[in-house]
Amino acid sequence: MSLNKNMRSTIFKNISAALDAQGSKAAREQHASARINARVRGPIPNRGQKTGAALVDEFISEVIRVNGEIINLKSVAEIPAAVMTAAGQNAPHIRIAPHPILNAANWPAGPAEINSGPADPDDDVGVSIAEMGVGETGTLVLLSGPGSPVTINFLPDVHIVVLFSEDIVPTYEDAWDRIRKDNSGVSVMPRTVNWITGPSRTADIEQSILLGAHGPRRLVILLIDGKKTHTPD
Amino acid sequence: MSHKKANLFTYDHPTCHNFSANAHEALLDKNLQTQLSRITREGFQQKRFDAIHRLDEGEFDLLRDRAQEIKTDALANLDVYLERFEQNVTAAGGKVHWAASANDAREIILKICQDANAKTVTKGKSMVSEEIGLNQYLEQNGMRPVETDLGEYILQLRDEPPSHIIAPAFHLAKSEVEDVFRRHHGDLDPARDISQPAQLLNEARQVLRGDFISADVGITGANMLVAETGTALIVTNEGNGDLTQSLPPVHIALSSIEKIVPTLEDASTLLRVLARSATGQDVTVYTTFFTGPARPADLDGPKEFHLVLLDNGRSKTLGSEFSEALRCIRCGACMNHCPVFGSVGGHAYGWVYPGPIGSVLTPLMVGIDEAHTLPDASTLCGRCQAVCPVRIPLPELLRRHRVKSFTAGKAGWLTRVGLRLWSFVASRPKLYHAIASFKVRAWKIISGKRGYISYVPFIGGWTNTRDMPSPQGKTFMDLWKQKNK
Amino acid sequence: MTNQTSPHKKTNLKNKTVALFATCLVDVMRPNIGFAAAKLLTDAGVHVVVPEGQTCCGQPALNSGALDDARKVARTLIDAFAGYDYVIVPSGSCAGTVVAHYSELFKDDKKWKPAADDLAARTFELTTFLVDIMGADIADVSYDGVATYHDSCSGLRELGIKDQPRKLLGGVRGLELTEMQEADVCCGFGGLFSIKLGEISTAIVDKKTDNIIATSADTLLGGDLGCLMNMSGRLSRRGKNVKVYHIAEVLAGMTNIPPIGGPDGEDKK
Repeated sequence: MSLNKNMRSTIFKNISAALDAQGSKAAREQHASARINARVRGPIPNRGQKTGAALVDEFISEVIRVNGEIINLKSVAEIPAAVMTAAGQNAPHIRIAPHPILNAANWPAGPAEINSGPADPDDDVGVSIAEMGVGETGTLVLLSGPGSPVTINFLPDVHIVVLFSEDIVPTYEDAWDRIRKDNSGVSVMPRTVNWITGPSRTADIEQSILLGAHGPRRLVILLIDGKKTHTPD
Repeated sequence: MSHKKANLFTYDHPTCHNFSANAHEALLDKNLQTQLSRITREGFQQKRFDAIHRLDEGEFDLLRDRAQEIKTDALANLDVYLERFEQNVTAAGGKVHWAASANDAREIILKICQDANAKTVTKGKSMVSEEIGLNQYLEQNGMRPVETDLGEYILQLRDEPPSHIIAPAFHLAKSEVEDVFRRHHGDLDPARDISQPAQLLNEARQVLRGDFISADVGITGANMLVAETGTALIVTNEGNGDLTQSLPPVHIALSSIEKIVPTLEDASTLLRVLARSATGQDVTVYTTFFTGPARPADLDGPKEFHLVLLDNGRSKTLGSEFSEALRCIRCGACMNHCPVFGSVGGHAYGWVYPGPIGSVLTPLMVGIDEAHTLPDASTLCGRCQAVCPVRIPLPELLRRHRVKSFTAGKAGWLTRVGLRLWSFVASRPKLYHAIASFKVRAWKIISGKRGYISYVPFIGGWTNTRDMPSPQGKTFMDLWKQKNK
Repeated sequence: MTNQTSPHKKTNLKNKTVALFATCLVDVMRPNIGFAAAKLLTDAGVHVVVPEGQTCCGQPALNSGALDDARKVARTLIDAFAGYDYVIVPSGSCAGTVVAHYSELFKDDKKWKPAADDLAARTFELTTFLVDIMGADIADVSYDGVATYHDSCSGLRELGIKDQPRKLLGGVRGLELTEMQEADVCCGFGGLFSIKLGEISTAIVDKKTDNIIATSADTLLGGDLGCLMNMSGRLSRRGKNVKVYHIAEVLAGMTNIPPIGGPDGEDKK
């Protein structure tokens, strides 16, 4: 669109007019490239520097502080039962992410209907797999992809997320490093990286905090001791 | 039927020029005053304070220093970071649109909606969309925009602009929310109790579900744009922004050029100060980083992704004495800590961005003729600068506006002549002391022995509500000379 | 509080001459504050002079955007205080104007900028000078009452005045200091703001006076006469009986005259 081009050049002309007095565009390009490549971390709060058991403890206490729920599991085999317990009686529609771990699980035949795929509006409970957890703030990191449809994170009333304890990293920057490493190709980012810290909330009415605004009213984390194992389909 | 007050602004009809009249009404508005009174000890101020103190001593200030450095660097290299961002969005399959003015942005967005044959357009909260009057424009052109943030939704029903940049409907009492739901939600049972916030929330949640599902286009804002990866991000608590961007086949993110940051690390640092400064959370419930449209193998997400980047004067501001205002990350801390905002709320400021940062930005966006009142709407107490996460020198920027406005002759005849006379005298010490000496004695005689005067001509603004303490009787300079002869 | 300060600085300054900038408001409204400041400085061991060429720092014009007028007045002040080792001001707001704004005010003026910077470097608010530079102590002074202290904005946020006045007040016998809520929030004065936007100013000072009244203190103290007049004026109009004094008056033991806005403003000397 030529209109778009004109506006673009007007905007950039104004910006150069402001910046060229300080130095050339070539110098700016060099600086910007260097800065982006260096990916220097800012100050990391002490609470974002825990390791080992202290890190897992911090993650758990932060999740609880923001009204999330934690259920500790020993292995993936315990996922279906834990999901059914967390979902409760009034959850006829359960949606699981088409992730190898969930696909391979031994789901009960009833009474709830269990479907795999992206969420639809009838789903009461969504189950997904977190890529990581961040100890600093009790934040889950979910990456969208074929095994992790993003709608599961937001449409159902209850969001159940499987997290492996060895996927808990101290801080956000550690999560970025791992995302970059896992996607060593050209495009680093999936469509969405979702940081989720507690269940949905709002304080829009008289500044009083209410849980379950548009997203899930409950966030339940199934924390599995150990390392994520990608069982084949 | 519109129930908004007659004097409320719209994006194209600011009421900044009426600031004192707006403020007068706001001071008499009991509901508003109740809501404002919550900010201090139970609300935003206390929550920010608590959040900062959950960090170790000194950490928040280190984060603020870094946040300031990041935004300064981003602005000092704005064009090259924007180019990098555009390349990366394009590589991910998205399209970047450049909008020089508010009208350009509106037209671009309408065109995308029309190309998608859209009827219902869901919207996440976006102050930039308020800045360009997007809803009105889409409605005029046959679309049905639906605000999905709870506060924005309430205001859309009331046909009212936000009064705060992060808590758009904080000025309303729950009874006012119930009232507007009862008027607009046709099938709401009159017998059903929706007097409490939780019931009001449930009602809105149910009504908006349908719109989320049926929307043809979803429009969100973007709090930051990451040059490194072509990623934009939004921070929300409700989850409406995510439903808005993930359910419809087309996602439009509307943002402005100064929101750029170099890297994901830089974004992370800014996020550490943003929520703490805004709502007093360590991080918002949902922080969503989005890059381009759905990937081929994805099972959901939008097929099309557009990023509309608004300038609207920002590229001109960059080279001006107000460039530091472009560091703003829209946390709202300045207004939450401003004694003037705390007294009159957001609508009195008469345009989209209220409070101290609004008083700096609005004159740049709507012009000094309309908005010269705003830089004066401050005691220059400096609390805004003290809490700003990117350390914008707001009082200094307000002073610079005052200089512009004084130079442009906006100050009023009496002030200008008064200051000229005063400076003439105050730069002639002998004359000054003679006049002061005479004035004080006269004043003393008039005020008698009571210690104060209840009315002084020309300064009724003071004496209407406050006594004016009387002078002691002679000037210090006279007495000192007398004593040290 | 007769120990624990920095005595080395005190010795250094013995017999030095400091210039007192009374400020235009103190000059006209309440000379007692100027005399109290002079007494405190003299007691701390320096020689005090009051240059006759002083008028005002120029803040009313500076904050009105009238920079030519502000510079005209500022140049007068710079001239009046040329050559003194220290310039002491019993006001955080006026001291703040010199220290934090003169440099910017003369940034394009090659001739006056060095002199403006030089004055800024020599200028101190009274309580910061007494505590931080002189390490002075308050002794043999008493005040019988419960006081609360308002932190004026410019002093607090431009000059970092917070602990110094409290430290000095700790040395006053009989004075009990009780902190109000939000002591560091603006009183609503803001110079011409208090007149031009009087209604908002009143709403702000109403909250401030609520906080003052809630402490049950019988005395309000502060370091800036403008703010004190504002709070006194509102307290008096609300019929509240709180005595308002400038901190220098209490520290110097010169509360023998009626408080600010109190009956019979006659100088009893």
